[in-house]
Amino acid sequence: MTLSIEHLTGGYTQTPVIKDINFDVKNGELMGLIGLNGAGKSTTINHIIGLMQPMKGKILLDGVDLWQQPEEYKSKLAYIPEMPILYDELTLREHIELTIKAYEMNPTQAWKTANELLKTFRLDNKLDWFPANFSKGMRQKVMIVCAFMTNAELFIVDEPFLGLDPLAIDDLLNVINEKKRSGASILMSTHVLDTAEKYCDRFALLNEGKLKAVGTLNDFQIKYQAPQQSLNDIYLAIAKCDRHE
Amino acid sequence: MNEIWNDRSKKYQKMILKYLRYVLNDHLVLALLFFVGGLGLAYSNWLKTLEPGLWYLKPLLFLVLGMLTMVGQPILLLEEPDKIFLMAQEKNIQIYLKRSIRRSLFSAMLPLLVGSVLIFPLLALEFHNLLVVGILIFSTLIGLFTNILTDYQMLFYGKNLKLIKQVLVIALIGIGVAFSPILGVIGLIGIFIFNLSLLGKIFKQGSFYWNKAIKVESNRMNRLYHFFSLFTTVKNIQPRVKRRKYADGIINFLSRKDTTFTYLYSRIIIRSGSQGNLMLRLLLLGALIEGFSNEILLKVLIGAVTTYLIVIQMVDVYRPVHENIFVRIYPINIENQEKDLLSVMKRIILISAIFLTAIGLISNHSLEFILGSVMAQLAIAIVLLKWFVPRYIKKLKN
Repeated sequence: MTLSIEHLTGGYTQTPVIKDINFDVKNGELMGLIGLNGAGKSTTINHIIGLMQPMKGKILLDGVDLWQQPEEYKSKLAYIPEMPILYDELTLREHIELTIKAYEMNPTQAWKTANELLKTFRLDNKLDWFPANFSKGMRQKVMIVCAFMTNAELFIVDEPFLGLDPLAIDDLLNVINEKKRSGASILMSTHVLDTAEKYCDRFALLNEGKLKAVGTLNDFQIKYQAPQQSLNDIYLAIAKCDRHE
Repeated sequence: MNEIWNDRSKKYQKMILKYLRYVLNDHLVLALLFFVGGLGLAYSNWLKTLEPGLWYLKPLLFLVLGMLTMVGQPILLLEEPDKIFLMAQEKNIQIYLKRSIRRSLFSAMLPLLVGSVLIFPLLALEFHNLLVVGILIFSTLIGLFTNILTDYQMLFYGKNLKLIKQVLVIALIGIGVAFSPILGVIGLIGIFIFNLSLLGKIFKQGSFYWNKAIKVESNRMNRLYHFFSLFTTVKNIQPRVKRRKYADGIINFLSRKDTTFTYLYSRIIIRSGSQGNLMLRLLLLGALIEGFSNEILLKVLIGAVTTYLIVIQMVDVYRPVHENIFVRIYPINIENQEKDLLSVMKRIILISAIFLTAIGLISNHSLEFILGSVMAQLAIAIVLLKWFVPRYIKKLKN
C-alpha cells in the first residue's frame, strides 16, 4: 500500500497552512511526520484522513483518490487521533462492535484480533466499561485497539507518545512493527524525536507549513553535512535557521 | 464581599435570562402549555368529583404542604477557585452569605406560590375557612424558610441537626393540618427564630466549609443546566451516562435496521443522561393522563402531543453523532446519517403511539378512541418525519 501526497496545499481559511507538500509512504514503511508545534503536522493529517479538502494537490492510496472514491479510500485507512475521541454512551465492547460494523469486517475474525490487542494493552477485563471510567491513557489504548484491529493498509497515528505509559508505548511500537511486517504503511506524527529516530524508517520534516526534507537519517546527515548528528540536532538546526531568515 | 455578590448576581441573572430566551422562544413551549393545559383540565375534572370530608384529603394536604417546605435551596454563586482566592476573606463570608440568603428566600417563594395556587381548592374544600387556609400556607412558608436556613448552617463545620429540624418542620405542618393550624404556625415561628439566631452565632464563630459549599452550589448549577439542556445546548453540562441494561430490548428494536448510524443513535438515545430520562418521563406523564382521563378528545390530543414532544427532543441525537469526526473517517456513506435517523425516529413514534394507545384503552375501550388515537398519531408522525426532522437536520447542517 502506497500513500502518495502530490503538491498538497491546504488550510482552514483562504490562507494556506501547508504549501506544496510532496511525499509518499511505501509498503511496510513507518514514516515519521516531524515538526514543531504549528509546523502543519495536524493539518497534513486532517487532509489525508479526509477531514479537510485540499486547495490544491492530490492524495492517493494505491491510485485511489480520496475525493473521487472516498469510501474505497477510507476502507483502507485507520486513524488514531492525538486526543482520544470516544462515544460517552458506548462501552468498550460496543466501540469494537461499531468498528466491525463500520469496516464491514468478519465478526469472528475481527474479535479474535481485537481480543489479542485487548490483552496486550491490558483492557481485556474492561469490555463493559464506559469511557467515563477510563483514564486518559486507557482511552488512548482503546483508540489504538480500534484502529489496529481493522484490516486497514494505512495507519495514521497522531502524536502517540503523549499520555501513554512506557509499557504501552513499547506495546504500541511492537504492534506497529507487526503491521509493517504484514505490508501495511504507517504515518506517525510526533515531536518526540529520540523515539522517532529509533523506530521510523524515513522522516518527512515539516517546518512552517513547508516540507523541508524527506529521507532517512543517513540522507539528512549527508544533505546537511552533519555526520554523527541526531535527528533532534538536525531538525533543530533547520528550524532555528528558518527562524533567523 | 458585597461587590463580589453584586457582580455574580448580575452575571447569574444574565445567564438565566439568556437561557430563558431559548426556553421561551421554542415552539416546544406551546406544546408544553398544551400539555399543562391538559393536565390542568384533568385536575379540574378530578376536583369536581371530590366531596368534602374525604378520608384521604388531610393526608394528601399534609404530604403536599410538607413537600413544599423542601423546595428551597441555597443560591450561593460560589465557584471552584473561590476556595483559594477568597479564603483570605473568610472573616467576611457572612456579608456574602447574608445577601445569598435573602436571594434564596426570595427565589423559593415562586415554587411555593405555584404549589399554593394548585392546592388552594383542596385546602378550601377541606377547611371552608379562608383564614385557616391562609395560616396553613403561611406555616408552609415559614417551614420552607426554616429549612433553607438549616441548609446554610450546613455550610459550616460542626454538628448539624438537619434531619431532626426537617422532621420537626414536617411534624408541625402535620399538627397544623390535622389538629390546630394556630399551634402549628406558632411552633414553626418558634423554630424559625431559633434557627435564625443559631445561624447568627455560627456566622460569628463558625468555620466555613469551602469544599462543601462549592459542591452544593455546583450540584445546584448542574441541575439548572440540566433543565436548560432540555431546550438548548448547554456548554457546562456534564453528561451522565447510564447503562440501562433493562432497555437493551428497546435498543435492539430501534436499531433493527442494522447500520453504523442506527447502532449509534439507539444507544445514545437510551443511555444518555438527559434524553433517556426525558423520554421515560414524558411517556409516564402522557400515560398518567391517558390512564385516568375519560375524555376521548383530550386523550387523543395528549397522546399526539406526547409523541411530538418525545421526537423533538430525541432528534437532537443527530448532533453528537455528526460532531464525532469518526463518522467522516469510517468507510461509510455519510448520506445515510439522515435516512437512518428517520428510521430510528419512526420506531420511537411507533413505541410511543402503541404504548399510549394501550394505556388509554384501560379507561376507555371504545372504537372511537382507538380510531382517533391512530389517526392523530399518524398525522403527527407525518408532520414529524416529513417536515420537522428534515428541517431540523438542515438547520443543524447550516
